[in-house]
Amino acid sequence: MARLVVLRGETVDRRIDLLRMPIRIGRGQKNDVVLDDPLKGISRDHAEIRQVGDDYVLVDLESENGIWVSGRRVPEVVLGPDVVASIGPFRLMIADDAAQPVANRAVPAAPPAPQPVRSQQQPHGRAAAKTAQPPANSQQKWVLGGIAAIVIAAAIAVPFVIFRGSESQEAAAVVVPPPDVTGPIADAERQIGANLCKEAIATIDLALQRYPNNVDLMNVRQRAETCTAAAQPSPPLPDVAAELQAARDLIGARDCAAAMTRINTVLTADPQNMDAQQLQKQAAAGCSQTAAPATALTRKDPLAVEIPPQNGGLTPQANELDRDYQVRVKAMRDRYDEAVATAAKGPSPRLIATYEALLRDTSPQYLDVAARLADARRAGVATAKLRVKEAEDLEAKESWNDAIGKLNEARKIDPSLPVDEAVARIEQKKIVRGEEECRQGRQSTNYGRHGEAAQHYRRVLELLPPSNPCYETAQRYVGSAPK
Amino acid sequence: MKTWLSTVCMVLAFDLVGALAQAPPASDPWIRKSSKPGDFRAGRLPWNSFSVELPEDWQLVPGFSTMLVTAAEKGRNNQPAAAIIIEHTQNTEPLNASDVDERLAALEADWVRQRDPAGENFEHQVKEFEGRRFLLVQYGRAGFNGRDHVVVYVMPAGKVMYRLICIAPEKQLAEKYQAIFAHVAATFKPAAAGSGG
Repeated sequence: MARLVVLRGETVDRRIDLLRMPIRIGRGQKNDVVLDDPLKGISRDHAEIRQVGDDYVLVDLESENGIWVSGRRVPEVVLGPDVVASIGPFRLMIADDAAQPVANRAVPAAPPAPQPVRSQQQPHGRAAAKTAQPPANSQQKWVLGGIAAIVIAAAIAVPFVIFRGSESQEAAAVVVPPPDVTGPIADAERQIGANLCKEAIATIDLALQRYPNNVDLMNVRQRAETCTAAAQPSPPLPDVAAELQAARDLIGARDCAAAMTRINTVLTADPQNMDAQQLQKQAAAGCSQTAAPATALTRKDPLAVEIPPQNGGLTPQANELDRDYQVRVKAMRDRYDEAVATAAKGPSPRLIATYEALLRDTSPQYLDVAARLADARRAGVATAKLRVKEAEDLEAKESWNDAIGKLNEARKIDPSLPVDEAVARIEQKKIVRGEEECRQGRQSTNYGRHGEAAQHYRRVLELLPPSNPCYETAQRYVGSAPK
Repeated sequence: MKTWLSTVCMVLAFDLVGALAQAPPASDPWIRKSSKPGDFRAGRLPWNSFSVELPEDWQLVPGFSTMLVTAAEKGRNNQPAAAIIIEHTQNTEPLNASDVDERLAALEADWVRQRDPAGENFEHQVKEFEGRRFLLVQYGRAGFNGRDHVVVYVMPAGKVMYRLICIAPEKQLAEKYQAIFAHVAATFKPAAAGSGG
């Protein structure tokens, strides 16, 4: 049975059995698969999976950010184990039950008891719980009851495991969160509900030590922080100067982790503090990568989760918050999208420079920029040659200014193209013809043929440079010539 | 003896070829100095912007406006006589030798045709004499006694355009007047380009 696997970063977000078609995906709550993205990378109605024969086709529902495959935006794509489509921060792929999907590598070992989310699972849970209640009074009853409970529980658990897949046949989507974090998340949720926000943060931070990149943990931590800010009075402001001085001393002593703790204390109270930001960079530069998780616990937000460059991701900076990372990724993607839009207007040095800058600021694997740069260069060379040919035709028709324009255009597109000689030749022709026009203008003027004279002088203005003595005469004449 | 004669003949033949090669090109009958320069005198004119030699026995008549002076042949018994009018006009844009070309000649011919609508058979040419380029426009028209032939020499000199308008009875043009007109035109020299008249 085919199954849709949704990944966020390297973590499986959920797996969905593809039983009912179509399946709508989007941010809106009415969708079959609701994907939430704080950065609004997901549209309300983003995409739809349709079955076409044996294929599952992911179709873009004219979303703002589209569907991306191998760095290219596509209107639709046939999903498969080897075809990963990206929408917003999520990646979608199809995995067959028989074959272990690649995505499962990121999933910890099978959970002892999956968390059911559909009503289909509820009777088993309740029955198990009910059956497991020990009988009252005698010890014998306790023992018998215990054995009976184990037998009944096993009887229920075996079919549950066997029919786990078939449960979803009646449901379009079954959401299975990563099991190892469900406990801490549930605890944290309860603590948040009880307004014990600091305790919730501590619970999550403990789990984050083990799973530093888990998105769900990070999301709950964010909620806990919001709850802290809303429910609790602001903590006393730290002595900023003293904290920063201590941080400087610690950086001097190469104790970057401790310095970072001090700095974060200041930044928590004053995120815009420039000195703290500067010191944060110094501390980050001085600390090894392994020190980063230790400082994560003191941070306000989760650390960045790297997105591969092939999917538009960037290399996270040391101790970079995920929030900041996502902003950088989005900004870079905007630059990329802008370059792609510019490419539609044809090759230009600006386009090539834009691609080069993108590569410089990202990596050679960033989306398809390297291929696009090569394409732009190739197209540029071809277009430049075409412009030279057009210039030759225009020169033959004595449209010299247009010919020079084409040559300059060619040079702009491909600066290595030798066009100087042709430009100089045409400029010389312009001067010869311009002086001839000037002579004819003078002649016509003296015989009172002002219409003709004006025409010749207009040509003079087109052909001769302003430094030529006739240019001024022509300018004066054209300016005062009777219409 | 035969050898000696043939050598002499060969030398003479070479000399003849050499002499022919060095001979000046045939002069233009419309502009050349007369073989009888004594028949002309430098005109005593009140302008120093040009110089010219006019036929000695012709009478000078004052002009007006653009017409500076007229040199008229003294006719006998009311016989047809010739005249040369020296005219100058101001150029809006300065014209020099480099501006004298076929197009200017055509423009001039058009202009002359407008001034003398009775004229017929207009012709125009660009001429060069002693490094000076000028235009020649000629045409025929009815005269006092039979047809006249009009030859206009047009000589631009910067801001001034000089015209020598030469009129003669058509029948006597070739035998008498062409050489006179050619000498007057050959001796006409503006003092300096751009100077006014």
